[in-house]
Amino acid sequence: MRSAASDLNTTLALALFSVIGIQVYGIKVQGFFRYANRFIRVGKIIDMIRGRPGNPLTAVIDLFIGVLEIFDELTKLLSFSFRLFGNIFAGEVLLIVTATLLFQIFKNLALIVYPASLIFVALEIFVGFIQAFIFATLTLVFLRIATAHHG
Amino acid sequence: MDKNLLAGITIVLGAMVPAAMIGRFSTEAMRSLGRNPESGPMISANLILALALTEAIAIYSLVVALAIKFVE
Repeated sequence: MRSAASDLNTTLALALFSVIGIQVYGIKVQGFFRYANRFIRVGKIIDMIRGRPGNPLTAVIDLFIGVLEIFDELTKLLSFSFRLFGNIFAGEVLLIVTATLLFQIFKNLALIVYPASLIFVALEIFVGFIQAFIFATLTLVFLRIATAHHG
Repeated sequence: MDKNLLAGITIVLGAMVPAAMIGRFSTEAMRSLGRNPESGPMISANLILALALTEAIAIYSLVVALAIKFVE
């Protein structure tokens, strides 16, 4: 019986929930056009059309920064899913390898293998707790960034 | 190049820099704890966050090594 998070599909689904939820809340709090201005930064171009003074070079650079923000969101998706998957899957591999090794060494004292494996299970529970904390904290931080009012 | 060798080199090289950085983070955290023992919980919380984030980079390289070894 593997843990649920040791499959990339589960962690990808969780990360999708997180990232899509961040977009939805950002649009809900800031309005669609203010939130889209984060990715397609036409704010400075509109200011220049309306006559306020502006440097055209910074307006063009802003467009590139907007494209970078889109990459940032995709990186968030990848990093959320792979961080959780890697930690839990590596923990499972560690459990299997240590159980096999201990069983090969202590073939006659097979009763000592089970308590020794319990120590590694405790380590994996600790790792799972830390990863859950990290996932939740990072989602919170990105939500805060997405819904922050500028000025 | 042999697939097993490549997987081994990937994980070794990919875990060197995160390990050094985790050591540096812990050193600075201990130093600041010694300087200001009252802010213990705050420093520990931020330290755990930073540790998990840098650990994730080493995990990325582990996933790549596993993919190299087990995917045709």
